[in-house]
Amino acid sequence: MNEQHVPGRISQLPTHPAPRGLRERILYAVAGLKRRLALRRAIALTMIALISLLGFAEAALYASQELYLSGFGDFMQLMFTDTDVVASSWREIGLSLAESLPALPLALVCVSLLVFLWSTARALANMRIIRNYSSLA
Amino acid sequence: MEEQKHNYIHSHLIRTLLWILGGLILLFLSFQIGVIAGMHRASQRFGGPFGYTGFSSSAMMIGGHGTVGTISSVSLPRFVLATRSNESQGILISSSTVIRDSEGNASSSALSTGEQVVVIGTPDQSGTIDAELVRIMPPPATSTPGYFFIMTSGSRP
Repeated sequence: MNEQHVPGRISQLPTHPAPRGLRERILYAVAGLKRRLALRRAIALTMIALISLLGFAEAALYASQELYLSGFGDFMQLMFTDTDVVASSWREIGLSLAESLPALPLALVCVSLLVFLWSTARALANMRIIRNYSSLA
Repeated sequence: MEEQKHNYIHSHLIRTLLWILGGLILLFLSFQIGVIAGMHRASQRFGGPFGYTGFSSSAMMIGGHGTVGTISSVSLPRFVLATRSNESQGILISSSTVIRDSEGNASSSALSTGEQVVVIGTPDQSGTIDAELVRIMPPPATSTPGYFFIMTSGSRP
């Protein structure tokens, strides 16, 4: 039995051409949605970048204050100004440096810098998406 | 579009920087955890000067191997240092202690009240540092009164 003569098959349904411009309208709608999504992301990431920049400033201030109070910079300075004495007392100098290292403030500086770099890179990527879809729409 | 996204977030420089920062964060945090754990154990075992007093590194190590501050009183062979975090630190000097200023070796008579010094040595049970090196720092540059005003307004008050 020839399959083409079976009534009710999809292949037998009458075909109609798609409305003119449907494909473009779908593409524009998708582009618009992607652009809006990228815009929302870019705004959120820019806010995160700004907050992390403020956090970086605060953390840097805190770290510099701790570096001054702990004398870490002075112990480092000794390594360059009194090299001969440092060579004979290297163990004490090393321990002094380790004891005075403000690890937590420096970790905070790194965290804020990491968040700033990441959010800025992502925000720029989303801004580029917005620009590309703007030219399409 | 994904390729363009990769241009920023997956660029070699940014990725390397993020990895370096992540590594540094892990390093600093593990160091800090080690310090806190060590302080806690030391204070339980010995008590006294090895007390953990908070997250401030300047306040954490009382009786460490080195200190920086201003001499508040001298009674040789001891002197007392006022640290930058406003704590008193006793220093003991001996015949083997190297005392230096910006011009080279100096004697213990160079230690006078008000001098800024960096001390390196070994702490004893009482927290006093047996100094191996006392470095007298040059006095800080004198600041001109009203300097900030001059800088901002362009005229001397």
